Amino acid sequence: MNDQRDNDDVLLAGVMAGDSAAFDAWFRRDHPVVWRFAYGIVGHRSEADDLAQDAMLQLHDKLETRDPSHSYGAWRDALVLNLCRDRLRRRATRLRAETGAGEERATRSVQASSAELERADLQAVLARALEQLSERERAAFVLRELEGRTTLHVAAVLEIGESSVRSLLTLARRRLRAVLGERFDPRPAAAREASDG
Amino acid sequence: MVDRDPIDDLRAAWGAVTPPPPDCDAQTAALVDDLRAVWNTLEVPESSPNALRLRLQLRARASRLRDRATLAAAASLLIALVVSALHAGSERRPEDQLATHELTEPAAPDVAADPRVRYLAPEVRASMAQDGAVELRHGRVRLLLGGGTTTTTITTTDVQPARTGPEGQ
Repeated sequence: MNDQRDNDDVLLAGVMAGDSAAFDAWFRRDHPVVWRFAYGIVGHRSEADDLAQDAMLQLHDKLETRDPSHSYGAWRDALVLNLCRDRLRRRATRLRAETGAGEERATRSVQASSAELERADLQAVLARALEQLSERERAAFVLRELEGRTTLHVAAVLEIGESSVRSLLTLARRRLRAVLGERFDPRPAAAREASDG
Repeated sequence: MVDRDPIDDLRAAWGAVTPPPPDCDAQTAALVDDLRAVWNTLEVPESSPNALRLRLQLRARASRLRDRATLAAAASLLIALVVSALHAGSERRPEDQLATHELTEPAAPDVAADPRVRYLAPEVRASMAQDGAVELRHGRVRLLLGGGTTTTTITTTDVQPARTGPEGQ
């Protein structure tokens, strides 16, 4: 943990000093992490592209004002999450304006159709399943279960206690289980057919 | 007997509250594993640090241009204000610039030395009325009005009052 923090400090000091190599290394390390988290929250690749670019820009801008006594990773993820929240809010407003009705987030079952699965479009199924979670459940699930962050990290990002994170994760798992049920099978079609006999 | 604080009971009850245990059943765990496996196949689009570098440079350039434009606009505004103030100053009636001392004959040295009276000929005869009006009886007087931007020359040759101040400029 401390080694990670030391590495962060050295790299970020280089970025702030205008070191081109440090800038490249920082971008190549953080951009994929930021993109994946943004994708997990907004569920659209093109929006994740935009968000990741904006987030990297904001991270760069705010590096100097960051409190170095706190974890860089949690600070970065919190900033990304805030950007995603803004984006989702704008999207919801736009949808309300377009449809005239705010009937989003009904707990509808995700129809992971066989055609979709046959196309191996499992990522789309996953993204749609994640959309059924509340924003906080989604953030907790993506960070903890999919990205493998610690509960402490997630608690710092969401600014809640660790026990609240565990509760969110439990709720998220239950909801995903209810939404995806038995239909979710990530194995390739050939493997499924072979095992099904 | 010591009274028991009800808050202690609440605190004890609160302490006994535990978060729900994580779902550890095999099916849910397997589902999460499957989701993680799918997640790990996610391909992040290639993005170059140069794109961000270019964006930062463009933004810095735009910011510099904006700063210059703002500075130029501020300078123009300042010049306009100064010109306007000067113009307004030249049109202002500087009544306080008029010599309001009661003049004697010849002009007392302290009156002649008054910075508000730029030139006062020794032969001028003048007096000041109760209402502050200055009456010139004889001679030629030049009063510099408006902080040096307007000069008024009044010539009298008779004891008849020719001008009264401060209105009579």
